Amino acid sequence: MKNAHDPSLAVMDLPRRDARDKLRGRTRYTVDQAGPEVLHAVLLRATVASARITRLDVTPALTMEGVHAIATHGDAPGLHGIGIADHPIFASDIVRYHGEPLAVIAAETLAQARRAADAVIVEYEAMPPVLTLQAALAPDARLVHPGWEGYEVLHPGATRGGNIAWEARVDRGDTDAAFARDDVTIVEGTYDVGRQNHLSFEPRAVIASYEDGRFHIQTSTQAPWTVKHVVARVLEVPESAVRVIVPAVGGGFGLKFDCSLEPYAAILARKSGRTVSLVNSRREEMMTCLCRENAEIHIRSAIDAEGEIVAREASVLMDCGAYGGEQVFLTTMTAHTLAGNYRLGAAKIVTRAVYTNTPPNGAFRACNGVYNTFALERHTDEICKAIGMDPITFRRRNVIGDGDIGATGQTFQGDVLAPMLDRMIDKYPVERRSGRLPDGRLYGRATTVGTWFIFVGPSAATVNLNADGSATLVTAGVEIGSGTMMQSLPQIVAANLGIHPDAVIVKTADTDAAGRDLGVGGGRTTVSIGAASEAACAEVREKLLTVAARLLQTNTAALVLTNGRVEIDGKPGSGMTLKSVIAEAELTTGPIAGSGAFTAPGTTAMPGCATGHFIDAIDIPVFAVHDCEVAVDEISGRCEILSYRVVQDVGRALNRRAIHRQIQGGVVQGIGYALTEEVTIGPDGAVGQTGLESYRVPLAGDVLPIDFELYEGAPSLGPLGTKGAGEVPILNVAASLACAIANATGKQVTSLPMTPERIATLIAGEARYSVPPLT
Amino acid sequence: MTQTDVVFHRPETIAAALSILSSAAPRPAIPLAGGTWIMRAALRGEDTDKTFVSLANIASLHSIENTGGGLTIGAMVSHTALAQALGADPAHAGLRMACAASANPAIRHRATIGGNLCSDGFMAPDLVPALMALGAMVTLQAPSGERRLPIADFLRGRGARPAAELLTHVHLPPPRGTAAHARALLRQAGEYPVAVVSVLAGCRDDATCQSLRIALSAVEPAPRRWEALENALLDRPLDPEAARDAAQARIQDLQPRDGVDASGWYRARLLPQLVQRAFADLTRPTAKGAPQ
Amino acid sequence: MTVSFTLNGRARSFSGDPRASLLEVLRDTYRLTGAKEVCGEGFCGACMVRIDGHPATACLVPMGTLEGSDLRTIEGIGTEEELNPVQQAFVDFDVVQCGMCFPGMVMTLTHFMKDNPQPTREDVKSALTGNICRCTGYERIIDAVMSLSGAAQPVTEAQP
Ligand SMILES: Cc1cc2nc3c(=O)[nH]c(=O)nc-3n(C[C@H](O)[C@H](O)[C@H](O)COP(=O)(O)OP(=O)(O)OC[C@H]3O[C@@H](n4cnc5c(N)ncnc54)[C@H](O)[C@@H]3O)c2cc1C
Ligand code: FES
Ligand code: FES
Repeated sequence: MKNAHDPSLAVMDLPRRDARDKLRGRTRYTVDQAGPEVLHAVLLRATVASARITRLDVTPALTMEGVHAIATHGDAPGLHGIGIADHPIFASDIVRYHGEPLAVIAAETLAQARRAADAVIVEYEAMPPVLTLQAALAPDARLVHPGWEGYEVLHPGATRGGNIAWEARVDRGDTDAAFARDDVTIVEGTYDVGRQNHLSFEPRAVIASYEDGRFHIQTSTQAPWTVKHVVARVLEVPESAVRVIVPAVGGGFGLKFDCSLEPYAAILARKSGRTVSLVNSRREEMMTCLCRENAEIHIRSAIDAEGEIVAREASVLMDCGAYGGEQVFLTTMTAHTLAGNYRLGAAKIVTRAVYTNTPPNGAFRACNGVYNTFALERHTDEICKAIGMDPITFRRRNVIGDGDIGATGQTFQGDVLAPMLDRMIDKYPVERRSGRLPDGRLYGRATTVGTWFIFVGPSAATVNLNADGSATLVTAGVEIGSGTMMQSLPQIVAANLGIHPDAVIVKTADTDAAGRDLGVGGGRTTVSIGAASEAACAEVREKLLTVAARLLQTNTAALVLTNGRVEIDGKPGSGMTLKSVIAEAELTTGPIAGSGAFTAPGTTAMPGCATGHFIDAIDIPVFAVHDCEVAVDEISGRCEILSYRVVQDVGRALNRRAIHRQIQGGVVQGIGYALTEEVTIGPDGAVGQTGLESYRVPLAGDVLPIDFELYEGAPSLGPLGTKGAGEVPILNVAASLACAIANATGKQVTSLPMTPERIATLIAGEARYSVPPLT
Repeated sequence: MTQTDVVFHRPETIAAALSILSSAAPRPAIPLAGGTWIMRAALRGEDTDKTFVSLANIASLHSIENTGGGLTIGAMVSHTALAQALGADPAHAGLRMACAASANPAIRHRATIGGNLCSDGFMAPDLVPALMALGAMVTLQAPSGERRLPIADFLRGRGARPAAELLTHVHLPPPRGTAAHARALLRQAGEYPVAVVSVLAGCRDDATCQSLRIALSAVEPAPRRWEALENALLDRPLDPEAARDAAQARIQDLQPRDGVDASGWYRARLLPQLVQRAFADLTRPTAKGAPQ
Repeated sequence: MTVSFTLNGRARSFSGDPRASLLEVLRDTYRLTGAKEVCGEGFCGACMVRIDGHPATACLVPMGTLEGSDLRTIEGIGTEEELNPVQQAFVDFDVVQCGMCFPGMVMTLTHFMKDNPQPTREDVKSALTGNICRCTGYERIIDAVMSLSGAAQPVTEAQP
């Protein structure tokens, strides 16, 4: 590109522009928007996990004080889903999970809406719920979706059947032959993990109105275009009839990557002619969270005498809950995580998303990558033990490097993991991996590697140059807390236009103003929206420079944009201000604006290797190396983290402080997942942890400062060489802690979370938890 | 709600409070102390439409007085206020720790000693076992009169207390001996303990144990004394390891409960270690009961 | 029953249900939405306000107990031009993320720093036992607060 700007101009510790308001309590999140004119809605939710609805009579509620509108299945019969359309927004005749919406009621006050919900008559004919993966896959299991064959398939190619919502497979090379060799060591392991609740501080919340024949939806979401699409689909209206606007979002972590409460509020708004607010209570958030799913992982590897992995077989069962949801998509990610990190001679991987009568699961920061990395890295340490090789040496030898082939046959570029491992070990040489501390506790240390990806895909951006020399960036990006919309994007736009980031106005997402976007998640904002923004800037630059060249009587190639001015390259002060160029443009060509777009370039896999996958190959891999030391008390099983270190592949770091923030926050969320955050489901199919008394997230006293190094320079398609940095910090936390605890205790750690009680159980040698405690 | 249907009262005397509590129409009336338990009634799925009788304006319930060498503590004294009022006496170290380490700073400032004792169904109180270890008594007042009884007796009847009865004061005997309070948590702080051991020990000159009270909380559905362990350790030197082993040997005395937070098995596993920790605190010469 | 009190320096009286929580009333009646409802049970501190000078979780305080009280919410901290030192440190250290917990963090830590001008990291962590943050992992918050430790300007707050 001519006049290529210096990418280092985008690198700075730009502070967040939203901090002051957030610190003063002035930021209005969706939960803060409902003024006195608004109706309040509540969902009537099923109190059983599996039943036929024999009677649902809302008439007693209709005439109650304050009630304005009630909606049930008949108001929104459409099915939605990812891959398969299996999900109605209200149960029609069958309840499939405890907490499933049956009806929604809008009234003048919340209390009135609740009273009306209590007055609705519901009668069930109970059916025994299918609550566990084992139960769902038993030969005589009751089907959660007896009509599964009739569902519309939105993404063809996968095997489905019975309680298996989706199956993704990888078959590369001949694993049978490899396992049959007599010169290989075969190592096998089985792992199981529980659910994790996002606990985003702002619950899922929405405010909707119906004006001029269109739905206007203000919502706490990460994916405004998904909301638009799903609302239209289930309400059976054109997508153009739905507008989605997103104010500041009080935390997402993947929970809000799917449509959730929006359709209910939309229906009620149309029915009542009023603005309707619907907010999940914390209890509802706890009991119907689209959690990181529980799963079971089986993995088997054949290792030759040189310590090469000649073959790997794995199967993963992912509990998608009552409806397929994100898990259908996420079956794809086994190939790139559980079968990632290392070069494999041959690979055979089967991943199944399984229906159960439990609350549906969803996406959560690094999704199944987190537990697949846990299983893989624990398995890797078991391999090292079995073949007597040092775990760093083994990893160093086998990690994916330049030109290596991934599980689905894609070719990786650049040596990244190996130098990252070296950097970790050079900084923190390994003296011992286990031992006893002077205070009597068991000491363990471990180092793990991990692979995740940037979820690229369609983004659009428009940049308008304003008369005062500022620029307005219009995208469907959302500020969920990571700071990307406040820091990376204005930094990128500013560097492209030679202005200060403070002069870049970032419009909040509004699907009436911005083009299509996949949503904020999967670490994609900086990359996809950033790339679309760069493309928009290129058009703006082109137009600007054309006008300026005319005025300065030179050619565009001789011009640069810097400090809010157009200058002749190498002659500071020779040019003119942007303002005057813009003024001239208004007279000659009109105001200057540019639009840009980006989508996944579509890296290729080997034909025939992957079936049932949404992404056969990953466009932008992201790597991480983590290392930690722990102290474990043998009686209580309590694990104290003595040190935690991260080397993270960031491509290029645009804002170091912002990345530091993400690493500290992401690792701590991983610590919660690994050690204390437990979700159990009772025999009635209800989540046991209904609030913060029983759901234990890390508190200030439980954490430590995370030591980190940013690894720059790995290949990336991202603008200025960036990769997303917010998602990956959580990736190998459970893996590292599990391996360190295994080293400390000498026990095979195979389950998450490693609560004190589970570690104590492990040490006590009682097989008290062979399966996730879902009974 | 009509003008006559008052749902919130702020009586200034115990008698006035009792009289409101006795006339429960049209809805049940309950004493309101710090509110930290009552305001979560909806989350526990309990009926919330009750008349609140705030005890905040009853001056006598806020005082802490020296009575014959002991202390008389008003029911409305908060955890924080009590922690501050208790001096450096080693006999009070356990209670001080219970007050200063429970919950979190904002809650400790509001939650009261009376509320801690009267929250029916609260299985993991900190103050209750510390008070049991101290041999504290409580005064209850009802329109029919006043009674004073040991904490254990009070707890036994807690579920079936008459509505018109107030716990007005807690009485600590003159301090004798050394106390400790050990809590087992799954995180560092800020949660209900999964097990608590509170101990008060008096020693002879030869360092053997002359008097001993050991109370547990969170282990069984209600706090209790562990008499069998007391008897086993009496007349022996205070020795943390020996105390741990004795606890281990008598763990069958208890029926630890299964809960969302921990299983009975786990509580039983923790107890000997917790006893050991409490005894180590008793024998440590340095300041005791410092907040966690 | 009417309850009278001052709210951020202004006299107010409330005549709704006195059993309602202060949090509900701040948010719905006065539309002061800086205090957030996150857990509703005293664990998270997102609803932290100050009652008669002391931090309290507004979700657990019934209105009827507030007769004559002096209430201050996050909206009553700092002035239009100036943040208080704790807020400023959070800006300077770039620690804010989704921001939902920060009004509560500011309320707790402003009070804490006034009483403990030279805390250790552990002291700050203890003070934060009832303030949960899901985004930041806390340590950057503590770094920011520690920068005020023993600062020339003790933490008081600019008040309108
Ligand atoms: C987040 C959180 C964490 C906590 N952690 C702990 C902990 O670790 N350890 C611990 O010990 N406690 C802890 N608590 C406190 C405990 O759970 C109770 O909330 C508290 O002790 C109740 O005191 P209160 O003054 O607020 O009582 P209230 O809520 O006012 O009342 C509680 C009950 O007692 C009755 N009552 C109150 N006073 C009297 C009286 N004088 N006479 C008769 N009846 C009366 C009330 O009617 C009500 O039924 C925690 C609380 C919270 C919110
Ligand atoms: S909302 Fe009040 S403490 Fe969580
Ligand atoms: S910044 Fe999001 S909860 Fe703290």
